[in-house]
Amino acid sequence: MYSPTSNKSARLAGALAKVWLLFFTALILLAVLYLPSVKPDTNILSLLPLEQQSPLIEKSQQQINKQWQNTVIWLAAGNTPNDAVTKARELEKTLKDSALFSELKLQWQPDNSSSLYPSLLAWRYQLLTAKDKAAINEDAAGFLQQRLQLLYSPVGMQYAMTLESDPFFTYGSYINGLMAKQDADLYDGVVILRDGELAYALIISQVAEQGFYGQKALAKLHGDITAEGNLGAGMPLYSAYGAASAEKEISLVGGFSVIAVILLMLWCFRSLLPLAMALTSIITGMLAAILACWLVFGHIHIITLAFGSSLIGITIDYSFHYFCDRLRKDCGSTMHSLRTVLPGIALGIGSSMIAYGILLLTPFPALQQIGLFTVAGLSAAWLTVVLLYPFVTQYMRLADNMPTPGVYAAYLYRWPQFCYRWRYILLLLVAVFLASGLSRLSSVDDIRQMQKPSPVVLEQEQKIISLGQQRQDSQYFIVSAATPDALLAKEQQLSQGLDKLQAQGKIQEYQALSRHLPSLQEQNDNWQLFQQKLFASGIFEQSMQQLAMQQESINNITESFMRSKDQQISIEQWLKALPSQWQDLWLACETQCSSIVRLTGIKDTQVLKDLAALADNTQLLFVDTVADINQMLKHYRHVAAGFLVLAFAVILIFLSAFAGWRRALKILIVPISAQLLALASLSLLGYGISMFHLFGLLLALGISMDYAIFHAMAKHPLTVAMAVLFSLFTSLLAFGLLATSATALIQAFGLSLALGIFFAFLLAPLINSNAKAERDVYYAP
Amino acid sequence: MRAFIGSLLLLLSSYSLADAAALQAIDKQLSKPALLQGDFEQSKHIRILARPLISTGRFSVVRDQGVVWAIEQPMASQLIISAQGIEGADIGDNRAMGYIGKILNQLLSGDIAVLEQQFTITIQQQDESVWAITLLPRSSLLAKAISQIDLSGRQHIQHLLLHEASGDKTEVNFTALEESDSVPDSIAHVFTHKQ
Repeated sequence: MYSPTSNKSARLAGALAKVWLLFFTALILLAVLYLPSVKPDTNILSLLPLEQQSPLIEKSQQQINKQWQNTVIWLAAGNTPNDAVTKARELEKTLKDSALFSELKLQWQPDNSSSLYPSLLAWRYQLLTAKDKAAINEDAAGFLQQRLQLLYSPVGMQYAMTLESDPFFTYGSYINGLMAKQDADLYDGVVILRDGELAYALIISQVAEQGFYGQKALAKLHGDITAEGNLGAGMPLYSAYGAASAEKEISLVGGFSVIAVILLMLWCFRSLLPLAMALTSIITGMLAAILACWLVFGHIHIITLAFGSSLIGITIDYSFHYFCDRLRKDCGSTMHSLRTVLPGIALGIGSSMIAYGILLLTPFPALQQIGLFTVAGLSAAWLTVVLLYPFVTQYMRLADNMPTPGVYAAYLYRWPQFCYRWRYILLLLVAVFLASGLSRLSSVDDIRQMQKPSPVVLEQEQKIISLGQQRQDSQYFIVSAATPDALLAKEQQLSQGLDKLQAQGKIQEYQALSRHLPSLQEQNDNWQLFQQKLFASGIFEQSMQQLAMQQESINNITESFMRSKDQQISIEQWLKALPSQWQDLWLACETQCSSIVRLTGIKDTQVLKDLAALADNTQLLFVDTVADINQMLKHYRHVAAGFLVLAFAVILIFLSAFAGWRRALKILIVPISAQLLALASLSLLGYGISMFHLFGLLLALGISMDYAIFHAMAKHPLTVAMAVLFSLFTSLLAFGLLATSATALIQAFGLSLALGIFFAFLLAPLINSNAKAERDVYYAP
Repeated sequence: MRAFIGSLLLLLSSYSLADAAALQAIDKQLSKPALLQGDFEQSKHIRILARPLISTGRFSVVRDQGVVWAIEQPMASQLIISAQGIEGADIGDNRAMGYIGKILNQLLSGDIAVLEQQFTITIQQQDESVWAITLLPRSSLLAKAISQIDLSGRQHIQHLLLHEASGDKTEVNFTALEESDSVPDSIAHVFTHKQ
C-alpha cells in the first residue's frame, strides 16, 4: 500500500540508488569492452579436469588427440565406385565452399607413401621384417626359391620392377609392413569402401578452428550431407552437435523462464514497474555472471551457459520477496520494506553463495565456471534489489490486495494442519519411501556421463566402423629409456607381453615403433645376415645366374650391397620419412627417450587389468585417461558427500549464532530431510548417483535454506509464503527444464536441484512457529 | 569454330557408341561358364634378365569366386586369387599385389563390363570369331604399374600381353580350354574354406 516516505528514508534510498548506478555503469563499461569478444567454448575436451599430470603424459595426450581432434571423415555414397567418386568430387566442393575446413583430402596419398619408398631405400639391407629375417636365417636357399616363385607368378610385378635394387624383395615387404592395412579398393586414387550394394568414396577433412557459429554451421552441414545418404563422423562433430543442442536448451530454459517471470509479475502485481525492475535485476545478474566468468577464467563453456540460463529463475527470488512485501497494507516506506526482507534475503544469498562457492574448489572447469557464474549473477541481482528498488519504487502504487490469498493461506496453515493430523501415517510413508530409496542407492562414475554424444553422430560412427575403419583405443603405453636403442629394446620387452595378449584375442593389434625399426645393433646384424647367408654363400649369384640375369647386373647389385656395409639409420631420420601416424608415437628425447605404444581393438574392460599388469609405473606406464578421470569422479563424489555434511555443520553453527541452537536445528531439519527425500527419489527413479547429483543436492541445499530461513524468521508469514511460492514456481520451472537436457551433467544438476527444492518447499512451512499464532488477512478494506 | 568442335564431339560420341555396341558383342561372345580350365604358358620379359622367365601350368576360373593358378614348371606352386585377396604368395599383405590379382581375376573371367570401369577399351580387331582389344588404365595410379594390356581370343581369352610401365612384359598363352557347368568339390573347396 502506498504510503509517503520520510525525508530521511528518501535520502537514504537515493544514496543507495546512486551506488547502484555506479556499479551498473561499471558493468556496462566492462560489457562494452569485453562482451563482443566473448565466445562460448564448445570443445568437450575442455570439460576434462585440470589434473596435475606429468608433463610426459600431457605431451602424449596432445600428440594422440592431435590426430583425431580435428578430423572428420566423409563417405560419399554411390551405386558404383565411379558413381561414388563423382559424388565425392561434388561433396568435396560443397565442403570447400562451406569454409569450415582447413584441409580436404580426396585423392588418397597414404601420407607420403610415394616418398616413403625412395627415402629409406639407402638402408634396404639394414631394414628387414622379423618374418624375412627368420626365414633367411633358417634356410636362405629355400627362402630365395620361394621369392623367385613370385617372379614366375602373374602377380609378381612389384618384385620384377625392383629386382635390381631389391633382389630379394625384402625391402618391398618391409615397406608393405609399414603401410596401414586397409581392406579398401583404390579407384582412380580414391579409397572406396564397400557395403553390399553401395560403394563409398572417402574424403578426409580437417576442421579449422571454430567459434560457436562455426560449430553450429558444421552440425547443420553434417545433417544436410548425411540426409542424402552419405556418412560423416569425427570428434569435431561431438562439439558441433553439442553446441547446437546446448543453444536449443539455452533458448528453451531462458525463454520459458523469462515468460514465466513476466506473466507472474504482471498477474500478481498488475503494474509494469515491478516487471521492469525484475527484468533490470535479471539483466544485471546475467551481465555480471558472464563477465565474471570470462574475466576470471578466460573462457566460458557452452554448458555453463546452458546451466546459467536457469539463473533467471533463481535471481528473481529476491525481487519477489521485496515486491510481495510491498503488497502489505502497512508495509511502510520502501526502506522499511527493504529492512523487513533484508535479514531473510541476506541469509538466503549467504547460504547460496557458500553452496555455489564450493563448486569453485573442484578441479572440474565446468563446475568452477558454474559456481562463479551463479555467485556473480546472484550477487548482482541481490545488489540491484537492495540498492535500486527502494529508490525507484518510492512512488509505486500497487493494488492493495494479494491475488489468491487463499492459496498462500492454504500452504501456510492448511498444509501444516493436514500434516499434523495425519502425522503418523505421513511419517510412516516417508520412512518407507526413504528406506526403499536409500537402500537402492547405486553410484555412477563415468566420464561419458559428462557429455553423451548426439545419437546422430553415434549412429554414423557405428556405420563407419562397420565398414572397416577401426579406430585406435584411448588407452596406451608410454615407454621410456636412456637411449633410443635401449628404448627399442624395452619396447620389444613389452611386445612380448602384447603378442601373448594378441594371440589370446584380447587385443586386436598394437602399433609400436620397435616393430619396424631395428636398433643400431640389429641393423648391423641384418646386413651381416645378407652377407653370410646370401652373398658370401654364393646363393645369390647362383640363383640369379639360373634366372639368366646379366652378369653386369649381378656385379652391380653385389657392389651396391658391399657399399652399404656400415650404414645406420637413426630414429629421427627414420621418423622423418614416415607417415604422421608413426611420428606421433615418438615423444623425443629429453632427460629420457620416450615413445608411445598404441592399442587397437581392446576386447573389454577386463583386458585393461591385464594391460595394466604389463606396466611397471616407472619406465613403462599404462595410461588409461578414461579410467583416471572416472577415478577422479568417484573421488569427488565422496568429496561432495563430505561437503554436504560439512555444509550442514557450518550452517548449523552459523545459524545457532543468530537464532540459538534449538531453533537452528529446527530450521535445518527442512533441508536435511529434503535432500534425503530427493536422494531417495533419484534412486527410485532409477538413476545411479554421480558426483553431479551430489553437487546438485549441495546447491539445492543452498537454495532450500532460503525457504526454511524465510519461514522461520518471517514476521509476515503470508507475504513470505507468497514470495516462496512464486520463487519456487520459477525455480522449479528452470531446473525442471534443465532436467530435460541431453547433456547428462546438466540433467543431473537440474533433476537434483528440482527435487531438492521441491521437497524443501513442502517441508518448510511445517516448522513455522508463527503459523498458529498469526492469521493475517490482507484484503482491501 | 563451334561447329567444328560440335562435329568433333559428335564424331567421338558416335564412335564410342559404336565401340560400346561392339564391346557388348564381344562380351556376349565370351562364354562365362561355371568353371573354365586350361593350360597356360607365361613368359615374363624382365629387363635385367637375358632370358624371359617361362612358367607353365594349369589354371581354373570359377565364376564369381576366383582363379586357381597352379604353376607346374619350373617349380610347383599354387596361387589362389579371390575377392579376399591372394593366397599362396608368401609376401603377406601387399595391397598392390592384391590389386593386380583382382584385375587378373576380372581379365580371366572375361567380364567386360567390370573391366570397363577400370580401363578404357579399344577394339583392334573384330572378325566373325576372333577379337582383339587393348585396355588402357583409367586410374593414374594404376597406370604407374601397368601401361597397357592386350587381349585376344574367341569364346575365351586365349592370349594376354601385359605391358608394365617399367618396360617389363608379361605374355600368357591359354590353351586346352575346357568349359564345365559344374564345379567339382575339390576346386570349390579351395574358395569356401577361406571364408
